[in-house]
Amino acid sequence: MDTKLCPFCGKEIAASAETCEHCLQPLPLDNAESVDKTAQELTEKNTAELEANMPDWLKEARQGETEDNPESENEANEVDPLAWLAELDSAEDEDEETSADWLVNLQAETQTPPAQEKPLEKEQETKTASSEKESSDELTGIAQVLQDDLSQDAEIEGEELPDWLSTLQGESLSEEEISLPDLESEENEPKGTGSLVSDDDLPEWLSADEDDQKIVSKEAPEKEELPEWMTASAAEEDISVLQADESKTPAANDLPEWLSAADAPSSAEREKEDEAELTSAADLPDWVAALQPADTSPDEIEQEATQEENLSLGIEAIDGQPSAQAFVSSEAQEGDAVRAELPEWLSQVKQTEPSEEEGQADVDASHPDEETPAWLEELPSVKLDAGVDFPEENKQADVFDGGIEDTDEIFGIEMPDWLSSLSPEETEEELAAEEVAETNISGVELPSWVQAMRPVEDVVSETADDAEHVVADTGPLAGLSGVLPAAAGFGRINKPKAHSIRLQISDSQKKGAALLEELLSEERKPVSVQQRERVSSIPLVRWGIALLLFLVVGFSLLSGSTMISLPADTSPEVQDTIDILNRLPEGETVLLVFDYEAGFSGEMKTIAAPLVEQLLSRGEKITLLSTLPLGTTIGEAFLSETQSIYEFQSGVNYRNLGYLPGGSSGILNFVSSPRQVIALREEGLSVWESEPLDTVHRLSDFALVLVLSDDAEGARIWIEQAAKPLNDAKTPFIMAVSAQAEPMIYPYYVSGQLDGLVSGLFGGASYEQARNELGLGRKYWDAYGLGLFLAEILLVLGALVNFLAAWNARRREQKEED
Amino acid sequence: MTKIFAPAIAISTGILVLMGYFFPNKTLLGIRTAIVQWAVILAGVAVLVGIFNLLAVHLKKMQGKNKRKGYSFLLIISLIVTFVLGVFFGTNSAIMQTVFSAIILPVERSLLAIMAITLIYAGIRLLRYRNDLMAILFILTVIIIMAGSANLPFLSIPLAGSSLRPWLSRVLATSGARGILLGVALGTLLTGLRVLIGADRPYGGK
Repeated sequence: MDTKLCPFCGKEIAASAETCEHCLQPLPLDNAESVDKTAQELTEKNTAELEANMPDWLKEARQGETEDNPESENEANEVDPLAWLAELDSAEDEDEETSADWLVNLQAETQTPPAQEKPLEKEQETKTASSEKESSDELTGIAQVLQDDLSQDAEIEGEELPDWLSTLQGESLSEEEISLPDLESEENEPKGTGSLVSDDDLPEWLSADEDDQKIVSKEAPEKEELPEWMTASAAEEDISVLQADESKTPAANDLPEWLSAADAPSSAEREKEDEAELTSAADLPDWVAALQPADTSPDEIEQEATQEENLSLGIEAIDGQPSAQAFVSSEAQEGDAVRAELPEWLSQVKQTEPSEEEGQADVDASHPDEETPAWLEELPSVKLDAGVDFPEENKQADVFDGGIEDTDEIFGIEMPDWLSSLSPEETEEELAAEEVAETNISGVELPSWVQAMRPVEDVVSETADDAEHVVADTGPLAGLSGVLPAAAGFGRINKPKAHSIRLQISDSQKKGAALLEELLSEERKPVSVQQRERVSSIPLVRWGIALLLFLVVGFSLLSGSTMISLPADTSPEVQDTIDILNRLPEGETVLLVFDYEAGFSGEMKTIAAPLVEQLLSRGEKITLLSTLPLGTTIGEAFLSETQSIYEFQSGVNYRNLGYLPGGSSGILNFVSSPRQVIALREEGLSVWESEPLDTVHRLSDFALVLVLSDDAEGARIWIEQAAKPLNDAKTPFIMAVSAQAEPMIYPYYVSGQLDGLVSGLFGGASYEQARNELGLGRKYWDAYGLGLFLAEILLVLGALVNFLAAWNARRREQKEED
Repeated sequence: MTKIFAPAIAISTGILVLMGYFFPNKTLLGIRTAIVQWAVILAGVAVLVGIFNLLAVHLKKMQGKNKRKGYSFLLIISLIVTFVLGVFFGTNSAIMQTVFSAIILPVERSLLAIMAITLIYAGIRLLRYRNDLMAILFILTVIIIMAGSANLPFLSIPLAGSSLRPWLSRVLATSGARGILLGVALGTLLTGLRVLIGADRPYGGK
């Protein structure tokens, strides 16, 4: 069996005991136990009607509890000795469901709040009532004492008793009625808690109540066997019935149904509210649940006192006095006024204090000595101690331990020791000391952390205001505060030093400035724009030049004129070329390189035709090669145009090797190893395996290398890459170049790298002239000569005309300038 | 990777080809020949890429509102026809000879003829806009060279063709041209050396 220690006597008692077996002190219930009991007893309550109005979350919570702990319900039913009462209660509820409307209405009026019917709430009520009983006992005694004092003071000062005092009396009386069942229940407990206080020890008013209870119990003898909560509810029902009779309320059966129906929800709402409170109490943390009875007890006391105000005794004597609540509110207003005078930080600090202390401080701070009577100066401390502070354990200890004698004195209408010990002088002194303390509250030594919380403005204003508030006496800032003080000698006004505004410049600088000014003035002058000569859309001069050239050259070609004689002297290079060709052995392989563009084909054809004709006439075999993509095509065209009299058969006396790529590197490779560079195959055989190339393994194996080029660059590359191996092999190396390339190639002939050179139409004509043959050189020589002559004339005439025109224009400009 | 491999390949290739020039070894000659063949193939591919680029550019011009889209159309047609004929019939075929003789040759000759007329006209107008000694000297040199290149009808200028023209062209002009060529050669040599040592990387990999 579980045991625990009694908090009062320290002896070991059963864990489930509600009172101590040894000291008979009611044991404080743990919150967990109260919650468990609440849960158990809630399950015993038939709340079928209320569940319909319950919120969803409460329904879910109840269902969850029922589903999660079905065993706990059984255990509660089994263990709880009051289960049969719960069943009886539920039976009564069932009866209530089927009872008449008047009975429901009557029950709703006479029933105490549903929470009081529940054992758990009854226990809570017991606890609350015990504390309330303690406070009501004290208040009752105080009220009686004060009532006597009030009667005297009222006569003296002519003031009326405040309402709060009447309320206190009402509370005391009502608390008696409320706490009556509790006391009775304690007396009826089997453990003898009811014999805790003997009748002799009880005060008269309490004994009188007991007599009343006995009377009530005689009227309902059947209820003596009922448990205490039932007797309490029955007693209250009786009282309520009596009250209903006294107030002459209509009987329940006389009420119309709509009125009884209107009352029914009120009871249901009460049950819902009570259940919500219980549920919320179950959800609250322990410390909040522990505080809850103390918080709610004063309100309940006031409400119940207000409801049963008519039953209180001696109220008529103090009717019309301001109520205690109004008194407290007025005190609170005065306290607010005093608080308003305090700095904000101090009021905030005060607000953070606990509510009990705050209420105490507010009441203490709001005691106006002038308005409050002497009896009231003593009262607040007592009243507030009784009304605000409700430490349960201490009060229980006071009541049952040492407070019984005091209560005897109080109920014996004698001043308690603590109250009688207070003399008016001492009270005034204490109040005066409190007022001094309140007025000097700013002088109190604050802790460091509070000082750290002080606003900065307060600290700064105390320290820096005096130093910074410097008021300017003179100057434009006169009268302004916070002005920086002028240092010694600063801002002294002196006569400004005279500076010359005349520029200090030298003569050269003056001249430069004048020159710059002159240039700028010239820039500002408008300049007449010279109109450009109108350019004709048709280039008449160019068309005229072209027309003249066409006429002259055309006439010479078409007429076949020979008006211009051929060159009389043959140049050495041309003569060397003729000699080399004449020395070539017949039937040898000759390499012809066609490195000229198609535009120069007319000139090159005239230059190369007599050379190729001489080679072919000697029976030489020709091999064509070109470093230009169109080179071999030009070569084919050249042979077909100029050497049409010869029959060329590929592979017999003629071979076209095609395009030689790679520029100078390709030429070099071809010079060193032509068979590797040109891998041409014809009819399944390599061109190097058939005539005329079957004997050729390198470039020097050719009998003659003749390069036909219109470009000095291409010809130079051939000379640079092929001249050395050809000269070493004694292979003739001849070039036939355009007139434009002759100046660049001629030095190679002079230096011996070239064995022969024929350049331009002049060289071709000379070659033909030297061989006494008339060919293309002779055909084009007149046209060429006439065309050059016309060009020279046009250049001379045109240049002269333009030169004179330009000279005249210049002279005209000079005249205009002059 | 590009920073390492590209210069390494370029420098090693250049050195191998250069060593093939200075040392007539068969191995070096074979390497040099192979490298040059690769370069030729790459050059041919580059030409092909250029042709396709040209084709794409003119196709794009034909799509817009271009007044000269007819020229682009003519170029594309000529390119396609010539390419097809060259591929299927060969570059030395009779039909390619006809294309050359009928189109390429006259066109290029006409361009040179127009250039002759333009040069004459420019020589005439030269003294109009630049009336100084150098312009006059340029015109006189041109006249002397032309006069020395061919005999004049009905008369002859003494020493023009025999001494004056050859001296002007073979001495003065050649000396000036050789000076330019020497400068170009030195620049080419320096560029080649910079490529070989990796100072210049025209192939990328900076």
